[in-house]
Amino acid sequence: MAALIAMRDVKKSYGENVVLNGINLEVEKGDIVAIIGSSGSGKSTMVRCIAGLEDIQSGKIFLRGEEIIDRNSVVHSIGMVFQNFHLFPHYTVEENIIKPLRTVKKMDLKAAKEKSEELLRKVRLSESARQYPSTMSGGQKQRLAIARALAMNPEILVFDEPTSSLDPELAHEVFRTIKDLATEGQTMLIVTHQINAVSHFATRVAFLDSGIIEADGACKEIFENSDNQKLKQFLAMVEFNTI
Amino acid sequence: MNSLDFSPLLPYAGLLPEALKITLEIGMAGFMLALVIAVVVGTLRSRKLPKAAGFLLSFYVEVFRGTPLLVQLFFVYYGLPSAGIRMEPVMAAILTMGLNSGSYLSENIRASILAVDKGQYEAAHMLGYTPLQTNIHIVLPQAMRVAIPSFMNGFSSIIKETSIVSVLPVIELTKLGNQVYAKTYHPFEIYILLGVIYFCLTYFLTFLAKWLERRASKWQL
Ligand SMILES: Nc1ncnc2c1ncn2[C@@H]1O[C@H](COP(=O)(O)OP(=O)(O)OP(=O)(O)O)[C@@H](O)[C@H]1O
Ligand SMILES: [Mg+2]
Repeated sequence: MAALIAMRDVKKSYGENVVLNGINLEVEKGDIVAIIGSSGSGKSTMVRCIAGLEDIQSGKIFLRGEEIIDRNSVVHSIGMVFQNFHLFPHYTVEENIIKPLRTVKKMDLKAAKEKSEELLRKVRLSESARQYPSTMSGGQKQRLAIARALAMNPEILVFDEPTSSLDPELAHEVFRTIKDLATEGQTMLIVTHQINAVSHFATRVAFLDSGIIEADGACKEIFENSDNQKLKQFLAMVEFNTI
Repeated sequence: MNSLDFSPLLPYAGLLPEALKITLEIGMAGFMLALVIAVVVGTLRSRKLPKAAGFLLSFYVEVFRGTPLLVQLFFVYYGLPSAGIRMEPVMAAILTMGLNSGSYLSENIRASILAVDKGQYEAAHMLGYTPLQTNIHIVLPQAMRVAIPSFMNGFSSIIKETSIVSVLPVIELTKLGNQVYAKTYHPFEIYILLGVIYFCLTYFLTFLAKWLERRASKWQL
């Protein structure tokens, strides 16, 4: 069976600056891939290409074996959670879930409300349903962003540094939610610097350096047995301690 | 100077409601038109447009911001008939005030739209919103809230500027004042009264604006 997502020799540059220099990656259903690498290595660009937010210059990206021709079409299969949440400030917490369901999926109000209640319970935000996002902590905002993305039933959920703008204890709340999703078998791509936190549930790690995937494999393999020099340097730099 | 004496104006008081009605009609309809124009033109001008369309819209905005309202009014009422377009003075007034005010307000809308975070567009897109849905449901409500104060200022301005319509054959507040002046020779009282009426109208609007802002500020960025 074809992989859920496959990237074949994907290249992208901004002007002279080559950001992705031939990316090859396969994501199977159920994979939870942690994407690590130093700042500027191209992590965000890579996941943004997958999410169809950026054009690529060459190479191909496949969704369920089919080449993606219209990059806008992937929104039906991919959900995205951003570092800065990008919640809709003029909607209440529950409306952030209800309104997209109504507008995009044309769901009737009752069904949309039920779905929002279910999702808010899942991310432990039921109490805040009637508040506006501006009144919430960063951790709550990010959990709402996750619930909002889940409402669309994405096959793949992509996170770009979901906890980088959060204090450690709030980041912990968010990781707890992501971990719950992992238990349910949700396919996820997670760009993060918090390697320790994701190592508990990621099934795979991809290490990006200068627009190339230098190492890609099971957690244990990457963190303990890799002999890739760049990876070793990177891990030493982020002072990663084996679990 | 004689002391204030409003009694000679009294016989004309019965004409006031009709004149007030026409002033409000021109002001409100002009403002509604301006609002529609502002939202459409401002939204269009906030994005990349085909050259011709972009040129046309900025031509409209520049022309209406760069020429006197009075000249615009004369052009619409006296000029356009030469091109076969004739209309009632009230209609001409509404159209002119709408186009004029719309050109200013569209710039406010455009600026407020450009101030909306780019992440809002990306988030909406990833949820499956079409660009049109994103504009209507996500971007415009946020931009409108930022623009409420300038909109209410625009409304006040329109109400005040309707007095310029007195140059056309239509009896709105200012024209009524002029006519009563011609008959009674009590300009002092007449124009004080006129000023008070306009002031009350715009003062009411500032209250409305505050109320709208309070309502809209249930949410914060
Ligand atoms: N819109 C853009 N225009 C021009 N250059 C860009 C743009 N976005 C990213 N870049 C450049 O691409 C390179 C990779 O950026 P990217 O954001 O993908 O890195 P990253 O691995 O996500 O880094 P970080 O950990 O800091 O988020 C950087 O050199 C960056 O300056
Ligand atoms: Mg990044």
